Amino acid sequence: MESYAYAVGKIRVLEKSFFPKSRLEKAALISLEAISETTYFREPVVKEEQLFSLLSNERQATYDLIGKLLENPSLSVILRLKDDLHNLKLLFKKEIDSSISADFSPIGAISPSLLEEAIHHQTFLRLPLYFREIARKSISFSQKGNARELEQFLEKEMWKPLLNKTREIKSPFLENFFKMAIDFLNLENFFSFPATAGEENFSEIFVEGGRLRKELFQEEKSVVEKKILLFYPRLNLEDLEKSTDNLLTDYLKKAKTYTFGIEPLIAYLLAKEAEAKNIKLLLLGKLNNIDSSVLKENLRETYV
Amino acid sequence: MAVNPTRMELLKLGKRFILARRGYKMLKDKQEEILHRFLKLIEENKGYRKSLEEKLVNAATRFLLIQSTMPEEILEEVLIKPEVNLEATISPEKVLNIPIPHFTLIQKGDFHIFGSFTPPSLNRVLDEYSEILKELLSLAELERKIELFAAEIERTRRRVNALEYILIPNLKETIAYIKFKLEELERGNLIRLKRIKELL
Repeated sequence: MESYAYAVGKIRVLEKSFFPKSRLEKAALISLEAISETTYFREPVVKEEQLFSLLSNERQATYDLIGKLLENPSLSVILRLKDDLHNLKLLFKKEIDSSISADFSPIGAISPSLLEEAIHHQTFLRLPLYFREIARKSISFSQKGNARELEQFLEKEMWKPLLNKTREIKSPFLENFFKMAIDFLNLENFFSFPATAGEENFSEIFVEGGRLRKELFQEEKSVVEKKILLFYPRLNLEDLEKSTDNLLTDYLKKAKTYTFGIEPLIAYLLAKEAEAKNIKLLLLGKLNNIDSSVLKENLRETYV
Repeated sequence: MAVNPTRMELLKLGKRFILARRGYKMLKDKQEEILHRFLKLIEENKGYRKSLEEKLVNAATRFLLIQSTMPEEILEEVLIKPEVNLEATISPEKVLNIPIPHFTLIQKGDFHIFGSFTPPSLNRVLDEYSEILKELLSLAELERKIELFAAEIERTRRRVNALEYILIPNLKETIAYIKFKLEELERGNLIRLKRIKELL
């Protein structure tokens, strides 16, 4: 634990550069030039493409920093799993349609060329252990030609290694965070699932590992709503997406009470992602002349 | 018109004149009907375009709000759906004898995304865009209809004008000329007969 003293100290300093909600709300009311001058980025943003590349660079820099500070390299790799799965999905899509020109994520722990080689030659030894089974199963889905099932499989697979790792490093804080994230994902999917589709279809997209069990979602919607509010009393079902994002950020704030340990590092990384959403919303909104009130309304809770 | 002033020609021109008058009336009626429908279409198009533009702006705003919640490369990837196919078919329809193309959109596959990488509101926006796409095709059909109606109005107007100011007056003039010539001949004949009678 004590070996994270330097890392936590560094993170505490970096946390000072986070934008508080009040500052973001003020920024929603001012012009794009004025926001650019408030130095989130080192250069003023004038084009969407520039904004996307700056955000991507910022995201990469944060992942690299946390990767360096983490003493457990396998944890750093797991945190990049989302981007690895994205790259794998894209690889299969490019195989189906070679005209697809979308870019691979630079944040993934496995390089796209290594991934491509492993999939082409079906040799998985150079892939991380937890990823081998995912890649193997993906190939069988891809051979069946069912892109939809492949997507659902990969998106579910993201959570298992994350939960296993948090149990392995014995961090109930992070385990609870990812369980909450799974619950919120299931809730959002449940409430947005088309009424015409049956429960069977919903169970196909249900992600295991959260606190809410699959059986709960087989009941009437009104019953589900009541039971969910027992689990998460502060959840606003009217504006679920924003409410879940806010609750997750609120939960992350507890990491500030940790003097040592891995929690502040991961919380910083996740809070940085949440902050990037707010910054992107503001700049993208300003670049596209979206009304300030709409931007303000859609701002998420901040870490500081 | 360069014609022989004979009774046969007069008869022929008389028939052509009646036909031209009837054609003129019919074309004039057609022109009025197309114009009436054209104006209705213009009104319909105005409202339709406006509501569609509003829908597009709303959908684009919502999409932008979602875009801000996801890294760009991930958003781009989830939106690539090789298993979804959109096919537009064109079948011709006839309105007032004008061939109008009718567009139909056929969607094969489902583009809904329920995953860990995407907010569910993306599905709602995709639904909106899917509806907008259908409406855009209807708008394209409507605007093409307007274009074709405008061309038909122009064509009919030219025909009506040609009948009204060229063919019918020409025919009238020629018929009058032949009648005059025939009467002249008749009078010449009568005088000749009277002169012969006097000589006898």
